[in-house]
Amino acid sequence: MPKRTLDPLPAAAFQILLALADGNLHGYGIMRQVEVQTDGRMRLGPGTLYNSIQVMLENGLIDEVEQKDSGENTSERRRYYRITPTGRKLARVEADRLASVLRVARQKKILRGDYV
Amino acid sequence: MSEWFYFCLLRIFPPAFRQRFEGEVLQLVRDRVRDERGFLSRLRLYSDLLVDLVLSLPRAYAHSWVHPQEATTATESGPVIFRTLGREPIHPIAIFAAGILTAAVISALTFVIAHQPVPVQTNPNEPVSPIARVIERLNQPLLPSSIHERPQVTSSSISESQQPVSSGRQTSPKAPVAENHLARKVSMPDAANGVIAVPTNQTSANGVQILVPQAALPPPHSASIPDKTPAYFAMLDGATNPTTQSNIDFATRPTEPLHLTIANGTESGTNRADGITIMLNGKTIASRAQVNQDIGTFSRDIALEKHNTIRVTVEGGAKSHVLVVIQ
Repeated sequence: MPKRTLDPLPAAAFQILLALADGNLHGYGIMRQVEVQTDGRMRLGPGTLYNSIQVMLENGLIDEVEQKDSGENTSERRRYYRITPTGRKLARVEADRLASVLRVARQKKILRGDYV
Repeated sequence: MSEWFYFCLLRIFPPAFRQRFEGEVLQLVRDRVRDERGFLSRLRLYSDLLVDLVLSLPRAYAHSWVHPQEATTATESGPVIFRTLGREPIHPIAIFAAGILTAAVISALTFVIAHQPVPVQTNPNEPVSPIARVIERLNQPLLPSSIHERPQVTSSSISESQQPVSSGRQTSPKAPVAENHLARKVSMPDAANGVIAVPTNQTSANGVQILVPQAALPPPHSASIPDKTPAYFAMLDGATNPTTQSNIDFATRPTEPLHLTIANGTESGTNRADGITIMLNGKTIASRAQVNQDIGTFSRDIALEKHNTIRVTVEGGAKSHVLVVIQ
């Protein structure tokens, strides 16, 4: 079976890349961060989240790091994920693409506002 | 409770996914159960998990494949990396589906074979291919009566005297016999299930065999013998007629090479002679080393003169017999 590609980048993968842009997170942290940055519109379930993580790991967009949980369970080891330069570049490309889409939408007066 | 339930649901995910992410998935569910308390929050959690399961499961299977793993082997120049295929057991559902499909295909083939007879050629005037002849033989086993009903031979003139029929031989009432020929039977206990009647025009010192220089006499057995008019047709049994010598005469010397075919024993491989030796005009054209118990049929091209002498020697038991055809 051919390797999965991320072209176009799925929304879940893009949100995960954005969530990891500020620092390393474990699975639950990614899910929470995505929920926050989308104002609760996207809540990644475990299946969707780890399917996306699997694909992104295979494509080198994110890395896996192991570090102790900084929370209450300090003895618990979790797998943390960090964005790679390739992942950051792909996220930028995707953001540019979305920005151009938004510009067109604003020119067509479909979208109002000047936040783009 | 929720974690245990989701742990059970995880069983239906691909093994590779479970192997890699099962712990993390359960940890995530555990975290959510811990943080999302209250009836509405818990209800939303369960609905999220179920919807996510329905959406992500097909995607997980669609993208499930054997992952290459790396194994290193150290050498003097450094580690050599080999990429090997990770182990992924066959899913039980796949085994079940394959079993169902296999049973269905076998059933369909069995039904088709059982209700579709092998076509055979019914018009005897049309040429029959060797394969069709074998199929016909398989569909209609050779019966003793069919041999007697075959068209028999009208022999050419002979000059030599005929040997009396031995006590072990019988004359077939159905065999047409030429006026100056003595119909004889050669004992073929297994192949012909009894006797076969053919005319003869040659004798030998220790037992007359059959020599038919013309006419259409189809070979009584062995599909490997071409269905042509035989120039020489001899049937011998190893017990009573181990050796025979005959003359084959032509009006003019045959210009084209003829074909010698020997059928040893029956088609099923029984009653074969231990050894067959054929000498044509003093030269051995088939030896015991070439035609023995292990050989069912033997054939080779031979060149005949205007006047020929053929000597056939058969070594074998009481029921062993051999058919020699020159065409």
